[in-house]
Amino acid sequence: MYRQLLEHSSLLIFPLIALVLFLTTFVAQVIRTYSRRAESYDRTASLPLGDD
Amino acid sequence: MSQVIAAKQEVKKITYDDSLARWFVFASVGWGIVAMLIGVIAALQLAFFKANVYPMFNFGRLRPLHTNAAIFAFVGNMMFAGVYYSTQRLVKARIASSKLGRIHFWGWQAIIVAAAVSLPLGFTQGKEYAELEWPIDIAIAAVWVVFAVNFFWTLYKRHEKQLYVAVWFYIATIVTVAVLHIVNSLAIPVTWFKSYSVYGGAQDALVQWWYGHNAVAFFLTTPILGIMYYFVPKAAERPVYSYRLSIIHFWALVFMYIWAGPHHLLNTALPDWAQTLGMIFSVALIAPSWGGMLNGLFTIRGAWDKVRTDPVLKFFVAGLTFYGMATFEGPLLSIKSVSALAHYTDWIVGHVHAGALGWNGFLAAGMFYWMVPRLFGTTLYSKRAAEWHFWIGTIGILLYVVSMWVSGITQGLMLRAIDAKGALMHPSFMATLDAIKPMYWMRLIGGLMYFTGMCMMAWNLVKTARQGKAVDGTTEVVVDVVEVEEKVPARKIVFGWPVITSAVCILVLGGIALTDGIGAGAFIILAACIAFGAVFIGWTLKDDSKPGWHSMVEGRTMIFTVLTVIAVLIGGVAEIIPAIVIPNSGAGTKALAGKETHPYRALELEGRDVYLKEGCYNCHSQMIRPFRHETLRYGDLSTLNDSKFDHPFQWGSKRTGPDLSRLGGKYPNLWHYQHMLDPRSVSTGSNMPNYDHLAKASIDWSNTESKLRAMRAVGVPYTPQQVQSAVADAKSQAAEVTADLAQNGAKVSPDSELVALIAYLQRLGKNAPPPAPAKTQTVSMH
Repeated sequence: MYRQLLEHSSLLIFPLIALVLFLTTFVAQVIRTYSRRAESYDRTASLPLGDD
Repeated sequence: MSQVIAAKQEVKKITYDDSLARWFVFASVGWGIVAMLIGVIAALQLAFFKANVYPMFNFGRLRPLHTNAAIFAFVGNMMFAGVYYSTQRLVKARIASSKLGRIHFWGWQAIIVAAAVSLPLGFTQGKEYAELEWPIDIAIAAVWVVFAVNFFWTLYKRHEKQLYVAVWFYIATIVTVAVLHIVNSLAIPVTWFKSYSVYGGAQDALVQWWYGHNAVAFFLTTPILGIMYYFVPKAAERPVYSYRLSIIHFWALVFMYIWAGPHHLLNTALPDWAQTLGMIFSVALIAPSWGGMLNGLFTIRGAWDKVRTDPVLKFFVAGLTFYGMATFEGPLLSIKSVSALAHYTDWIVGHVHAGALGWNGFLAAGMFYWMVPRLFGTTLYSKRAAEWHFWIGTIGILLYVVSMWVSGITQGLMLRAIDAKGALMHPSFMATLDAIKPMYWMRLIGGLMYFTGMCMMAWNLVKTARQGKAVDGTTEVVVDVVEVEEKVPARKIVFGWPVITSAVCILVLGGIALTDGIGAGAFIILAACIAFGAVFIGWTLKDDSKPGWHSMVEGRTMIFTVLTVIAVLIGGVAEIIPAIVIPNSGAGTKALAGKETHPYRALELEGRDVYLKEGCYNCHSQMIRPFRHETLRYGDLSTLNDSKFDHPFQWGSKRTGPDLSRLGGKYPNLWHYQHMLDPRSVSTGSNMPNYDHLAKASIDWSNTESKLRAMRAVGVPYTPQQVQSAVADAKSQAAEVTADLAQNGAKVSPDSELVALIAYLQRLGKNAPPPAPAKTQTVSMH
């Protein structure tokens, strides 16, 4: 499919690169976030409750 | 994050500046009532055309006023109230500059007044949700910068190092709205009140809906989510259900939303690759959106009994439910085959109002009912009235949304119905309009109910304020007084492993451009291996005693902001740049290869400006999609060349009337003359307003030459001779149209806007070359 896409211009590789990059970074972010214990966020999560 | 070598703690008293929140709350309520009143009038005009009582207040001019007022005046002021109130408390610092806050407040109100005056006067760029003319656009940018400076300055002065997720949402909003507004508003001015977009045709369509969709995302969604993540825990008196989920919610929206714009352009002449990208990301958005909705709803765990008695929680729960409903419907409508039915119909209008009235309106109401008593040191004046507001509003939204679903699906199905012989079952567009008229009345009732609820809220909040006294929140917080602080060097963050890994992956993926076939696949697999390998190594080597990369970023506001901007921009740049650099990448172009496209003649351009001024694009599209029922009804499918010289593009987003792409030559001039004076004289059942005032309004020829020059500046190939003889050519063409009308017994001034509009409408779908200069000169001498 990408060959048909690139027939128009090699510039069209950029959306594909960005797409793969975005998904990879996002998956990494999900893994990173859930690799920390939920309790480690407790202080930050309670910030709205102790402000006044 | 900073490493504290030695620290002591002391109690510090902080007095917040809550006057800004108070002003913005009441500005939001006041403008909200105005926006919804205009909405009710516009709904009445669609059901009952005689409600178009004065040209300045015709539907075409009121609809942009309604959308701008609802988005930028109602939700805008609400957002600023929530941001100023919550940010100060979350970062434990008074707003950096009350003076800048006041400039922000009055500047924003001045912009709203300018919009309220200029839109009914017909000063418009003709781009949905970006109609305001260039001087107001510059003012918006300036006021936004004032807001941003004050916000980031406050973050700089903060006493709480950790940035709560609501503040992330605010940061993403501030930077992204600035980028969207500036890029989409780029235009060449002709006069103080007239300009032409630098983008044209499909490029303009892509940029406009990149902006338009992300205005929904970053003006109506992300800041309100920030507000949700602050106020729902406050009202429920418990922390957010899952903070980890809120982080994922944030990054998923930042990464995905920016790509979704092309779902507004499915099945159009936009290149297929852009449409598919938009569709995929739109469908994927359901995951983070529902994650966020559930996170909000689950926050009320253990406090559900309070929902029965507390109107604030009622509004929040219903608002979140509407958020879930709208973010389920959005991805559904972004599927090409669903869009084929729903696009250009009232289904989209229903979808938008489920979000605007249910999500934005109810979150606003919940926030106001919670905040105003506290801003005035009192309790809510009438809990009972707030309960009534909730039920009237909810029933109003349901009546509105359900009527629009029924209307949209009914009309969509009727328009596409084809009989066994392959002919249209409902060839008359007016027959489909007639079928949905009852739904227009039902919508009006729903809108009126919602409007009534808004008025009740205004009364309740004013009474609450009057029974109390303005008080600024004060708090005594234990703050760290850092004696020796060793900051984490910026390079440690900028060259952290996630950034380096991303850069390496980009380089590896760039290799795809150099190869083909198996080689490209190898590069993709290699990049994926590097990415997942880096994540795995980072995870196994993780030292819990040291702050992680993301924790460090959260403590460094500016770096966090820059990374957010990059995340947001990559999507837009990757999607838009190829479309701008490769203007002829659409399939439609091939069909017209070899055919020369001619720009509009001067009179047609003037007529097009009348079309924009009257807001015709609010009800008529200029885009025939590749469906048999569309080509049978409207003519050959639209190509990129059709709108190549349209600055701005006029593909439209709603068909209250039929598509006009191939209108040129379909009817004689006299038909158009009669149709504009009284649409029902030639089109029984039409709900279009009368445009008889166009016969009396004259074109200002002194700007015609400048208009062609501005068009030339944005790339339309007018020759210098064409620019110079613009007025002569326009008058020559006007004389031809007028003479033809006179022959059929219709007398109208050749200088009238009506003649220019007829010339434009007769040109649609035609590609007539301009006449020879000699003829123009001869006629102009008479």
